[in-house]
Amino acid sequence: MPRRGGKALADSEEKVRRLQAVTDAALSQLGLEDLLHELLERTLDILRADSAAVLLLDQDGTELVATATAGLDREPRHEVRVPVGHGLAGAVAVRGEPVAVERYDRAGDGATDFDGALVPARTASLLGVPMLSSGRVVGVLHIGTLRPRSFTADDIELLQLVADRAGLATEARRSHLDRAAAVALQRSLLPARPPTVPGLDVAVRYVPGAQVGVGGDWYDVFDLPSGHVGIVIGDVAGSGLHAAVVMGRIRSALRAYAMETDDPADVLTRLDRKVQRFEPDAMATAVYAVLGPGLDTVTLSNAGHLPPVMMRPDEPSTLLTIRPDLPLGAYRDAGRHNTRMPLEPGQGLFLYTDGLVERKARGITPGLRRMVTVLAAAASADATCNAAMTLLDNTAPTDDVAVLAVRRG
Amino acid sequence: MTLSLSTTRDAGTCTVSIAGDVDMATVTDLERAVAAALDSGAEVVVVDLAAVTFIDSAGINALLKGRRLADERARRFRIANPAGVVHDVLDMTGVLAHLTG
Repeated sequence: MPRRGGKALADSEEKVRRLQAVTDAALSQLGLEDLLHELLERTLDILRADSAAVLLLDQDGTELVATATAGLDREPRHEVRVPVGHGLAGAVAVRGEPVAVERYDRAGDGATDFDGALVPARTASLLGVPMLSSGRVVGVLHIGTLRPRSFTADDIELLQLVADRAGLATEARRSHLDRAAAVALQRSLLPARPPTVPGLDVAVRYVPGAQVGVGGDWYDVFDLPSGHVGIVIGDVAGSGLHAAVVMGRIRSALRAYAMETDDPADVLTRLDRKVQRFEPDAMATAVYAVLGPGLDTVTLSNAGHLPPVMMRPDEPSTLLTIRPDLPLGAYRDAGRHNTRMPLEPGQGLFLYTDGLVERKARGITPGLRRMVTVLAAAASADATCNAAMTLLDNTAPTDDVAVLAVRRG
Repeated sequence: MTLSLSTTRDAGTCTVSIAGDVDMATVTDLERAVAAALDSGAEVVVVDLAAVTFIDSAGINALLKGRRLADERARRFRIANPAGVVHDVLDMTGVLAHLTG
């Protein structure tokens, strides 16, 4: 048997080179499943195996989902899921290191034969290796051979190399898809053009964060069957696709509760209860304001959000420093209250998320003061939003930013 | 983007002292430290914010989560010494009394 080095090493390098050619060139063109499949086909060739499968760990880390296979007698008709801790793949996922089975004994009982669907009948030997990303197991790659085989250290090393490449490709694909999906979701939920409400001047802006990309910030404006108008600004903790998905649910639920009652504190209380029950890990801050049918009053309730700005014609703008109640999802049965005030013609409200005013270099108070000063001169809702955008100093904010301005005509 | 943490134990109280910026990039460290303190068997968990220079909504959420976790495990949780900017933000978002109480 050749020792490492010399021809064996050269062979290995050649194999790796071929492998790399696949992953790098194909990454930009193929979908993830096609890419993995292509990678598996090459793996069969390089490692002289008869079957191969990639399983990816699902989101809550309890099951491995078969994502690509090669060399099977027939492709599984249903999605194949292997619980972590069961079968070869499950064992590899738990240990986070390679597992070789030289004499694979197919379990007779189909229900407990976790590997059965992913290896051909008459498979004699199996080798599985973990796919790792930042030290965490994200999936498992295994190969099977019909002839009994003792896998060598070289075999294991080579398969691990394939798994590393597959892991990288998967993560890159996933984060790319996540970002794309988050942006699509955000765009669909936050229309750039707010609905037209007669007698009310409305403008909105959304700016993704430089570091976090799309996050959980949202604004909303809707008219209600009762003739009231609801306006919302909110910020779901976290970033990326998950925050955007949770934001979408919270936004929809708020709209649904808004149809049931014109009392903002009541709407936020129901919403809070829903979040506690169905999104136990989520937290969000929000201001929900309801304008009366004549647009001459505004009633608002604040769930842990920064204070709205009240804008008056020919007068300085002021922060509405009403005491906020706790954020949504923060604490069971948190008390909520309303503040009601008149809204004169020409007066308006400006709502925003913390990314607009919070900067590490200075405190929140100077940030708020600067915002109030900048907003003072604006003559329309659109001008107010433009003025607010100047606070970002032409640089993308770290955090995402949503703003909403309304002005009574 | 730095956050340093130290945990001290005195009788039934476990104090997590943090220094630096608490934001999306560092919040996981805080969450872990708070969870560990709650698991330590201490009756009371105190998060000392005296040396915290910045906190954003992710940081506030971590503190609120600490309070909630403590309740679930019949432990007490509070923050101590929020100063300057940190005090202002907690006050303005209405969570100060809930977290110091």
